[in-house]
Amino acid sequence: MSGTSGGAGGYGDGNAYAYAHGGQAGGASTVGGDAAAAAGGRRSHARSASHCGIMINRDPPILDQGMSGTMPVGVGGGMGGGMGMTAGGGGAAGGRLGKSHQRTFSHGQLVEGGRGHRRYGSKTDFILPAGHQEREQKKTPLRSSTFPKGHSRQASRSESLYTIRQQRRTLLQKIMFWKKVPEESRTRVLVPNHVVPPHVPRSEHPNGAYPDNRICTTKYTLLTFIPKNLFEQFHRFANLYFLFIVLLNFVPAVNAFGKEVAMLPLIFVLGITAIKDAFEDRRRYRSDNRVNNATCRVYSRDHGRYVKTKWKHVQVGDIVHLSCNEIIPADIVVLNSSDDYGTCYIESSNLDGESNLKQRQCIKGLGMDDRFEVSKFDFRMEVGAPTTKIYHFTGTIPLPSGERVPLTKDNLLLRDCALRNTDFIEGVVVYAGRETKAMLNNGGTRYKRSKLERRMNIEVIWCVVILFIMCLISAIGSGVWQSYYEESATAGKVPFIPPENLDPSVKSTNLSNNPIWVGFISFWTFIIVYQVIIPISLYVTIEIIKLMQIYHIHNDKAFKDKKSGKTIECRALNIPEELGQVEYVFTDKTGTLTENNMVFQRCSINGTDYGHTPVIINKTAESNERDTFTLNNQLQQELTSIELPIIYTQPGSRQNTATPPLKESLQRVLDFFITLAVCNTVIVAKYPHRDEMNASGTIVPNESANSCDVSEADNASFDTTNTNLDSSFSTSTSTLNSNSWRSSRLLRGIMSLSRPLSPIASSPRSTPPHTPESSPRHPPLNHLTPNHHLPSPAVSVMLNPIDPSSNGGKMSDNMGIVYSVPNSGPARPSLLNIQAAQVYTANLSRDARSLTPSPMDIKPIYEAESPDELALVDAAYKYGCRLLKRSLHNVLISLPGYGLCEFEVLHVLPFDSNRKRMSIIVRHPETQEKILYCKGADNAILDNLSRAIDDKTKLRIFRTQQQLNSYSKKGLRVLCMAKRVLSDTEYEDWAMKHKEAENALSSREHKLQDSYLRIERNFELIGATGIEDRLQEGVPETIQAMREAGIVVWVLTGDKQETAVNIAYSCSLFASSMEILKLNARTKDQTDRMIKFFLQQIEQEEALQAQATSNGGARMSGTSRGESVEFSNVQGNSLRISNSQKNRGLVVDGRTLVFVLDHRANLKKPFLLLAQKCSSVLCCRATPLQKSLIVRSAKDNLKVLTLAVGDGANDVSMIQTADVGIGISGLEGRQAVMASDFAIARFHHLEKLLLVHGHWCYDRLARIILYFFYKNASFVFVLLCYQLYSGYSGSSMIDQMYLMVFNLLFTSVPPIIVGIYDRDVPRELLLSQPQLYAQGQESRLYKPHSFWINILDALYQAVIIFFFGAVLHEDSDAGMYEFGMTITHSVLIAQLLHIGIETKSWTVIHVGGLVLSLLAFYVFGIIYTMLFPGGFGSPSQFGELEHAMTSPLHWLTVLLTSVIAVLPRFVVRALKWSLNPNEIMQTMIETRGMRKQDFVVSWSRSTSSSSVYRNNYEAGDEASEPLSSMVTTTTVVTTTDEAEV
Amino acid sequence: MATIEIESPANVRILERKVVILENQIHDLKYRIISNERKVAEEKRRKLDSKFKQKFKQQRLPAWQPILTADTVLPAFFLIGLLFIPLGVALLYFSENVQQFELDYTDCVSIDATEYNGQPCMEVISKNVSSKCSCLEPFTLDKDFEKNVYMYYGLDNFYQNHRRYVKSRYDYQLLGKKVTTVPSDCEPFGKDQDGNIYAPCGAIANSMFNDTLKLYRKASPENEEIKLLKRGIAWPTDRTLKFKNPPGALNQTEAFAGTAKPLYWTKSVFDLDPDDPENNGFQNEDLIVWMRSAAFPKFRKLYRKIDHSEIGYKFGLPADNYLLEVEYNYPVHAFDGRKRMFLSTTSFLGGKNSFLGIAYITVGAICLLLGIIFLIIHIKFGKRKVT
Repeated sequence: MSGTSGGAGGYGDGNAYAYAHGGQAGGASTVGGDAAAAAGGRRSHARSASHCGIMINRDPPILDQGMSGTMPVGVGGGMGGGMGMTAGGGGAAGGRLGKSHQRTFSHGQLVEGGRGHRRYGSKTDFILPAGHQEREQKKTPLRSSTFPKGHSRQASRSESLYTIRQQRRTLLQKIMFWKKVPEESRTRVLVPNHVVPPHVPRSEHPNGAYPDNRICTTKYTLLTFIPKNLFEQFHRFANLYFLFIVLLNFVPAVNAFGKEVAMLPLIFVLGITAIKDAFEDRRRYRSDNRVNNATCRVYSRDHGRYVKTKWKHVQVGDIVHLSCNEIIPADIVVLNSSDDYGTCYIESSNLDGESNLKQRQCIKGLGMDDRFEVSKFDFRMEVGAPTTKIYHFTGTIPLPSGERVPLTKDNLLLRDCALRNTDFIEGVVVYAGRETKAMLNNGGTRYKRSKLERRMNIEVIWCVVILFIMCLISAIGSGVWQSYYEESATAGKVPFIPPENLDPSVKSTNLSNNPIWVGFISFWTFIIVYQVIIPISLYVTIEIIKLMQIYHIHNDKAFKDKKSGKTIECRALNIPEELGQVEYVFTDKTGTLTENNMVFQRCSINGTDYGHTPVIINKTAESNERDTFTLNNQLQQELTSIELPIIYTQPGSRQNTATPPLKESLQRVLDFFITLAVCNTVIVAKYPHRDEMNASGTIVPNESANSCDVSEADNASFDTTNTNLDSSFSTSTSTLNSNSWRSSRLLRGIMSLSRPLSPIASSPRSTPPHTPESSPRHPPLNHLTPNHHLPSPAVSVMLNPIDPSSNGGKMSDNMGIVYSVPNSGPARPSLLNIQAAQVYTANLSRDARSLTPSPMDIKPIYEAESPDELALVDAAYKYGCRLLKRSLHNVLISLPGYGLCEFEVLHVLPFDSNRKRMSIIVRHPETQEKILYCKGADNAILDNLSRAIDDKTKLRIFRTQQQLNSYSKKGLRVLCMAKRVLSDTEYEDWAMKHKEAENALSSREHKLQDSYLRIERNFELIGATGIEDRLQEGVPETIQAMREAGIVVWVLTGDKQETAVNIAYSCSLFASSMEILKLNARTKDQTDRMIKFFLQQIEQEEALQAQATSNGGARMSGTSRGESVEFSNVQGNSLRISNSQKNRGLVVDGRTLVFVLDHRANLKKPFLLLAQKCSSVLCCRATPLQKSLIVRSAKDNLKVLTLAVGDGANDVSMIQTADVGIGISGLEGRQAVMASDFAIARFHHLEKLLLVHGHWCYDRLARIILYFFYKNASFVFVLLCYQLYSGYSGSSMIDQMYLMVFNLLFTSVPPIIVGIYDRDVPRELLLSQPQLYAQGQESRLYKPHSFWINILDALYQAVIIFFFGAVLHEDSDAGMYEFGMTITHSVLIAQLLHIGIETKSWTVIHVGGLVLSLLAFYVFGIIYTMLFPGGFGSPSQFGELEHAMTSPLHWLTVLLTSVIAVLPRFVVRALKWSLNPNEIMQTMIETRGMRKQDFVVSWSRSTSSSSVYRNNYEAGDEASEPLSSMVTTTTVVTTTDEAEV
Repeated sequence: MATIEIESPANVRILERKVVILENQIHDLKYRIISNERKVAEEKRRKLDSKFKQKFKQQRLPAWQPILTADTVLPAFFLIGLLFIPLGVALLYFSENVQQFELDYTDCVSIDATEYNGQPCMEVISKNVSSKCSCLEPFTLDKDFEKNVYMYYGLDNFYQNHRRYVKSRYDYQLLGKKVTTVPSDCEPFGKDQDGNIYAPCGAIANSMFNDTLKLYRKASPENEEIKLLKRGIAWPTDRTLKFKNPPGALNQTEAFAGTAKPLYWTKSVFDLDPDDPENNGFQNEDLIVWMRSAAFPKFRKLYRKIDHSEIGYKFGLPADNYLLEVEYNYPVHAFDGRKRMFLSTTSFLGGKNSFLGIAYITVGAICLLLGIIFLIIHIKFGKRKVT
């Protein structure tokens, strides 16, 4: 089947690497859908990015049909671009759906038409294979203007938000600039474009003055690249320095080198940077293109309907139609919404990081409220000038009647937000392109400069100082030297000082022999000669090293998450070493520490605890379904026993007889589930949001959009499924499996695709035994609702509003495909779409859906803000208590035994954090009782239970409480359920007062609260639930390791304090031994008092402890106090942090944080002081802003290196604030990842990232930076020495070419290799001993004095090399360059030996680097000194190398001087490591000792040793063999060593 | 009973066909086996390859991690010590074998029959640069100088490595190329007032050492002049490749047309060696030697080689009394320079150089000492690390 192969081809191309991220596949499917639509004449338009594979795989029967049905389409698709398979799938969808128009989208890419897009180049693109081919689509025969291409759009929150956006102004705009000014002053008037006659020139168009929607973020164009880039580059100090030196060389008196040679480094650096810039700009250009070429539907006057338009062509005044989940292309005022109430929802996480849905309202009062028609919208609009204020918008629409309809921010949809939970909206563009709020608010990226780099920059400044001093000394020397010869030189008698002019007549002006003048000139000359001491090559080298470090981090298999197939993503290239210096970690909780996957785990009803074992679905690459649980047998039996009495007592019509009272306990069980199902704010979407528009762009009004009953949908899909199930299931499964395997391989990293594959595809029939469907006593839902039966196919065809005579209709006839079944009913979602949609929702929002157990079970899609609610509703559903429909006034649920019940909702008392509960008052359909169901935090419920209780109830409450306690101890999120039956009078009474409160004008909030409190009391406890948000694997270990590494961990969460504290315990943030300080204040003063109180207390404790320890220390054989503290903590294996005063945990809530972070309150410092006294801090109920403020204040006030890790949009600001931002690429979209520097798949990867790679990167870079300073300095110092012998003339015995290339060619490779590959400690050891991390934190390798030590070493080496050489060559026939060659050689060898000493682990690469360096020296020398006898504008070096190399003296000198040069470093290093090794070397020696223990131990015993150590030996010996025990003993030894030495 | 007629032509044909088929199959199998083996080998190689790549990517290449503690550095010190001391001794030995004689003739006295007779030549020249001055310096060689003996002139306090001086040359011109302009580096010795380019241009060439040294062996009745070789004192590569004469006969009209004699020179570049026409122009070895800037202000340059083909000098310079006759042209008084003459034999190290040997012995000794110190450290503290 050509389709299949085509599809495979499509996959292959689209996903050549993981980062393609389904783009191509999505594109392919879209094209396929389009093609199929065209073929089938359905004009349907299935949109799905990257989920095509899922659709097929989950729904084999449909696939079967789809495939056969779309075979010719597949061929067509194959011709067009070989996407048969996906086309088939899409086609099937389209064909079955009829006009339904569904979009799903995966995160992160923008897919337009068939062109797969590379995901806006992550910064790691360089590691990846070259960009993939974009497929030519133009050949597709089916694609013509009448069939606009299908599109699946995900206007990503691409990096667009994080890069600087500059707007390209059109020429016209530039010219019109002055004209616009007065017009734009306060408000602007715009008219809908469709009322403007066509072909009005832009200048006369009423909206013509406003920019279009094109955005442009690129810096350069092809033409402006060179001048602009050069201009920018010369803004950098380093380049200016270069330029300065090059220009100096053009001054004849000053020039030290040939002009051309002196330009080499500048050209080199400029060139490399320019290439890098060009690449970056190209990426931005592509990203812009992608955004600009995304499409949306704009009303076209010519066509009289919506037409697909590229974003960049959207104009102010256009009417735009947007479907659910579409990204809003510009700032739009909503005119119409699919919602009855004219509301729609947006998610503005792209803008402000808030992921909750925000409600927006259509403009009301335009006189077209009942039915909106675009063509009738012809109002003039007056809106305010564009501002950066996101939540500020004003405008009016003057009506003909003179009335003015106000426009507020509630009417405005902002660009880059996503439309959610609304089928479609129509709106008019008011701001476009650069005037949109998103663009106006777009700041640039913060260039992160690492701590090490900052330190380095200081040293570079020191280098400048050294340079200056050297030049000054040399210049003075030059002047003094010149003064000896002044007279005779002026007379032209000194042959080696050429006079400036031979003509005696100009002698008076002959400055060239004036000592002061000579000194002045030589100062500049010396700047040229000594320029190398400013290690310019350092910057380039460090960039390369970091790039490669990132490459290796990126490629580390350890970061690959096997479950999701995701791996690490390094987005920032310049801060890998920061990972090794982190001192504070700020982490989000939900989704970061936990799976963000709420699983209903326990419930307690009637004081009975029902446990549920979570079923952890085998998380392979193919399946990423959320966890579910098995039903509790007992509970289920109880539920069935509810059902049974009802059935038995009322075999016929239960309505007729009064319901016999259930047993009390059973009633409570039922109530419990009703509470779960009813008492929430879950929105039921029975079918995925549909696009009310077909591909050709006309709106098809969908009458049944809101009246469509779920059972119909269920039946429809059920039936269709049934018919095809058996015949096709077995065959398709096998093919699909292989397919899914391949696709999942190809689409590695796309969780979205792989999510639903396995449970169905691999074991289609193995539904869990306890699912209600398989239970005979629980017949499927649809059986209970016989009155809602499936309309016949004929009817459905008639209902189908799409013109069957369209082009594709014929096609389908030709193919003889029966389309009537799938089209049963207008816009009936097929099974296919539901699942695809589920995938999307699970993927994109935190409302992950639970797996539907079988293809037959169509569950409504639940959307909720809180995943807990979702989990509860889900649990109730599983027990057969199903929430089916929720509208403003009704809740339809299906109860076991009862069937469908429609509760009338009387009141909803929403959740707030004060009451910590929510309630709902409903009228029971049968008993007509008014019942208040309440669920909330345990204390919020338990405190309000009714007082008149009997002993039985007391016991029940007591037991429930006990169970609650045990739940919280397990870290479960606990909720209590309660109900209260209200008498009519009571209710009426309350309702009246409540209404008053609602309508109160003043202090309404307060009154409402009171009103809530009045009714929410005297509860009858029903039960409690425990929901688990499972910790990710490895979280406690990771946090433990981080704490051992001396990293202070703060958890910042939006969660409730109780939950957060529980989680904190379970993730070992808090230990049971810790003292937990809770900071819950309600006022500023209270906060102040509390902080002060705690601080005081701590001080007292510390004083006490100090006393105690000093006593203890006295006992411990007179060691000093500090050591004894360490001693006492040695066993705790947390040497550095557990100075006992730190064993505290701090809990702060959001309220208190408000006061703490308030600038005026001045509480920041005391708070941080308090926090410093605690080893871990937990902030609950923190808002995103607070999170970032906390990070900022810690960063700024404590001067620590911070790392923030989070997974969701609410963490974005925190991630961006911290020095290092880590995103968890989890379930919550990509905002956090986009904002982060590194994105990891799981939290526990952080351990490896910090402890191993961070440690390595810091260690390597620190050493290499120091080495570079040494390297350049030693080379320059040699030149300085030579000035003593060359009359301070600025002469250098080393040829200029060597001076230029020495750092570039000869000595660059080994340090780079050490910088990339050296590892001081093997990774296993780093992981097992987190305390080794301290090296980076305390910057031990790169201290302020390290620079000077290295400079001194350089000076020493230079002196040794030079003067030994000088003594050996003076008064001989050695030529200057011959001598220079010897010195160069010596310096090179010494530097290589030096790096050899610095190298901690030798691999092939290290050796290769050294060999390469030497080879470079010789080969360059041979080429340079043997091929060019004429020289390069400087004295020719011809034959110098040959002469030097053939002289034994040369070799002997090199050997001698280089050995002497590195000897001290070698000796000092060996002495230090023998006598006083640092922790790291100590550990290394330990491990080494372990390996050859037998030998060493016996040997050491044979020699006498001081008795001080004997104990340690014996302790060590006892603990010897296994590595683990060795690990524990290490600290002991280290401590003693430090105490001793 | 039906017997099978094996001999029947039909059967034979069938059998033949079968044989062919079988042969083909065998062939196929063989081919398959071979290709399979190849594949396996290839696979292996690829695996090995990818293993390396993997290890490389994962940074798990096998590594040697030396820890520079006392016990590990011990051998290195002893090794260096044991290597350097004998080397130093050998070097010292060779250096001591070199014989060298040095004669400072800066202050020698004029022997010319002019009014300057008896005056130090230095003063004579300082009074008038163009005046000639000859002088004689007697000296004695106490020992026989073994073959080969080289003659050097040495200058002191002459900064041939001065930046502006070093640059003041034009290698392109010295390559024998026709030049019409001179680089600014050559100034002010680029062109004369008539616009003729100095050949060679620049301060180095201009200041070429122009004393003439002659060596006599004291004898009666007449001092015997020792024959000195002018050739073979420059690097061969310099003489053949770096310095070339312009094409044409070496005279003012052809090769050096349009050029001028350097300002301070008395002879033109093509007249430098009247005895040997080959040794003229830019390829004059004295010029070549001079053009190599010395590394230090105190330097010597090879001047002549003793012609050991002459009778009496076959094995070197015998110990005897000698006379150095100097045609004293080169002024050094302006910069307090000294002029010296050296006679020296050579070793493979070049001239006499005892410092190298001493340095090697010292360093070797230090390393040995360090080795011992580390041994003590190791014994005393080393085992402390081992638990």
